[in-house]
Amino acid sequence: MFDSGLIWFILGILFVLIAASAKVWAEDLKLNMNWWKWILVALWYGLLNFTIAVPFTFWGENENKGALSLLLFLGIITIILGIGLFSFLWSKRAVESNKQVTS
Amino acid sequence: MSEKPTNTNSLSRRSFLKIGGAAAAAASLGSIAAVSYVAGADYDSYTGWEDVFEGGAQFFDRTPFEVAKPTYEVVGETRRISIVDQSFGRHGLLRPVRTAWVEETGWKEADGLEAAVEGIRERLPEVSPDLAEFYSQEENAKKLELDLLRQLIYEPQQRRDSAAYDQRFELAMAWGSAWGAVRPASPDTPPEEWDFRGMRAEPLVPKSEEKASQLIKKAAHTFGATLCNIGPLNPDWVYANNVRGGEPGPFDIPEWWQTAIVVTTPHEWDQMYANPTYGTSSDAYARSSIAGARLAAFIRSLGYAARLHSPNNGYDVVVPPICIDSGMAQQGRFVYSIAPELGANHRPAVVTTNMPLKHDKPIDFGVHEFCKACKICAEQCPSGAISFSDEPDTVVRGYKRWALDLEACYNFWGQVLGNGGCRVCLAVCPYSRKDNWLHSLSRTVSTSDPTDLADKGLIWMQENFFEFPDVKDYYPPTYGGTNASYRNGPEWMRVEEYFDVDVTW
Ligand code: SF4
Ligand code: SF4
Repeated sequence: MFDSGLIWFILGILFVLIAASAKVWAEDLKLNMNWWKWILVALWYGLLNFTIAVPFTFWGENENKGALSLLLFLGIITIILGIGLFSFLWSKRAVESNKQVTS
Repeated sequence: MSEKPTNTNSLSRRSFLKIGGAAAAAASLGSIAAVSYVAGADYDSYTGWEDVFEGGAQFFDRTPFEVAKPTYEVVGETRRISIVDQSFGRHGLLRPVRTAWVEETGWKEADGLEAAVEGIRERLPEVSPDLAEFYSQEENAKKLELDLLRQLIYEPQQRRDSAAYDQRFELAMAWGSAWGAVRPASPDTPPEEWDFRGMRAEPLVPKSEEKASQLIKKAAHTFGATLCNIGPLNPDWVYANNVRGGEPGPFDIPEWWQTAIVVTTPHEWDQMYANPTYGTSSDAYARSSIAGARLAAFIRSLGYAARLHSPNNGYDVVVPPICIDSGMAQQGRFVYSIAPELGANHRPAVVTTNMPLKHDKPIDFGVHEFCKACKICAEQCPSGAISFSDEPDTVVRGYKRWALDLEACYNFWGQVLGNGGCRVCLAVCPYSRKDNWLHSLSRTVSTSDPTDLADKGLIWMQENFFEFPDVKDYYPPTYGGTNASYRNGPEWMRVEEYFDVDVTW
């Protein structure tokens, strides 16, 4: 199953659902998203997938130490960037909200 | 009767999207993990062993990397290689001399290696002038002692060690010897007869050299070759003496040895990573030899002379430089050749012919620069045979390259247990990687990055994130080691998984 075209078809459906869902989450959190913020989010999401894919490929190859080391290495980078990105989006939200209050 | 709130549906749809999206994100990450695991484990990533046939595994587009001249540097007068320049050839010539001398004198290990070196050195001029001449040269002064150290000290000890420890590798050894069970015949008549045997009387005339090359490559892949490239035959790569099937001594290169077709196949990947003890050369040796034998027969049936030079039926040419000339590969620090699809995990055979064929161009896909930054093979070589120098540091018969201490390498083969020989340098080389998305990505980034940043990053990751045994552990316990292999033997090679054996390891 996981080496067939079907899995990519299913993943395609999941990605569409994730994108639709992300839009709703962003609206409800009042993140004031625009195109370049969405690109940043998409890049981070790509990095998250890469962070999962690399170590699991190495586990498949029986490279257990490499897999674990890379999971930690990439995982830390992804978490730091994720927190940074969310803080940034959140701070922009506050600025936009303040602007609305003061105007 | 109150009206239903108009936003109920929209609220539930939003909630569904939010919860569904979060669940989808978790499911997609799980799926990516599973897909990636399968990509790492899938046999379809074992280039040359997957179910792709007819050239499907020769996937690297060499065109952007083609160069006008081969990537080795000529710095002096070049010459053909003599059989005694090469460790294997020399050992074959020395062995009967040594055996006769030992039988005659009754020499024993307790008498000391020095006595044997002196005695055999005195004997050589009358029984093997070529060897006597070789060992008398200043740069080869130590080589007789090293060659005899292997034959008289290491090999007998290896037999004793083998009796004590080799049960662990029995399945691997059985698999290796099975691959050697079928092998093409070695020439037993001179090239004037052998290379024409079974040849069609009138050659079929190709529509063009290009068409003929396409056909030969197509046929080679159907005969089992994973890669096939075609190049000119540089006379320097032809041995200067002892042509197979001919008289001992010097020989002129037959004029029909014009073109060299290289076919190659990889070792089964898991056993290759499990070098030296579980690894074998026999599988790739046999596959390349048989693919080459079929190709030679095919060419003769088309009406052209053809001669196979292969691991299983012997050589009259040195093969790695022909891989370079034909654009199949580049030379690495460890002197063996590195192909983009297989790294160092391959064993080539050559067919020399006079069939008119279009030659491929040599390639430069960055191996030389990569090797300057990467010294992993040198760090992991159990015998210390591979150079650590930043730049190529020796000149061999007029060609500049990194030095390889062949005697040290070959002597380790006389010590290590298991399947015989060593291929650790092939296994640890970052280019020797399977064909999945991750290594394809690394290959693409490494070959297309004009700076060396990507290379440095990849080398740093391999050195810091991956496991390497302690070099001395590759040796048997007699020499302080643990019979280690770079990676564990694959499950299907572990005798204890299939047979009732006392596990003492
Ligand atoms: S085969 Fe083994 S001993 Fe020889 S150069 Fe390679 S790693 Fe070193
Ligand atoms: S291990 Fe490194 S230095 Fe050695 S041949 Fe491979 S790339 Fe070059």
